[in-house]
Amino acid sequence: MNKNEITNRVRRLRFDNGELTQQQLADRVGVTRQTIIAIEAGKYAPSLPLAFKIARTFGVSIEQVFEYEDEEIT
Amino acid sequence: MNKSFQEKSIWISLVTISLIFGCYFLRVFRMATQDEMNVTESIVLLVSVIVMVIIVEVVSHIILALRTRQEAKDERDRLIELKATRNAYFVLAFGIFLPIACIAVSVRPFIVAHVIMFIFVLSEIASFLTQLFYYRRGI
Repeated sequence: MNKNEITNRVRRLRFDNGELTQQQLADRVGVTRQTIIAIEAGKYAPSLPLAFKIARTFGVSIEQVFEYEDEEIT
Repeated sequence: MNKSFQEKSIWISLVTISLIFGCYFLRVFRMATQDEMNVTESIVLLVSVIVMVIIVEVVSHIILALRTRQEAKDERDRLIELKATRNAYFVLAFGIFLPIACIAVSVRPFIVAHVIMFIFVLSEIASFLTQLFYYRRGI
């Protein structure tokens, strides 16, 4: 079975950027706070445009926020 | 995890529709089994049920809007909505065979109309349940 997962460092980056709240980040990228919560919890993989917006908010590249893991599970 | 405005709104609609239409279909089922079918009475009942659903939905959504921060739907809400619509369509597509079967065995048109209505309500409930499932489990 193939398990594809996208992990992220959104929570870490929020704290590294002046303890940005989930609501503040949500407002900046134009989504609801629940979507930010879901992304941080790994319950939602954002679209490419949203992923870019989040990365730009933190001033980093998209790979520094999101990581794709292609894990082979037997 | 806190519930969003969308999620609370779905809960309200789910409870309202399930309860009100549940009572309505029970009443109609009782009328049908006891052979007390009265078309005029059931039309009046149906209209009052629809009016009741509208009133309860409007009032509860006004209260919800006053108490919860209202947010526009984002990409996650829209994706969940799409999956819910797909599941509702499946219920509708398979459920439509039920009234066809009723017509085949010469069930009264009044009953067939209610079976169709029941399938519509069921598909709506499937849509609400799908949305709540994806909001909780993640997508």
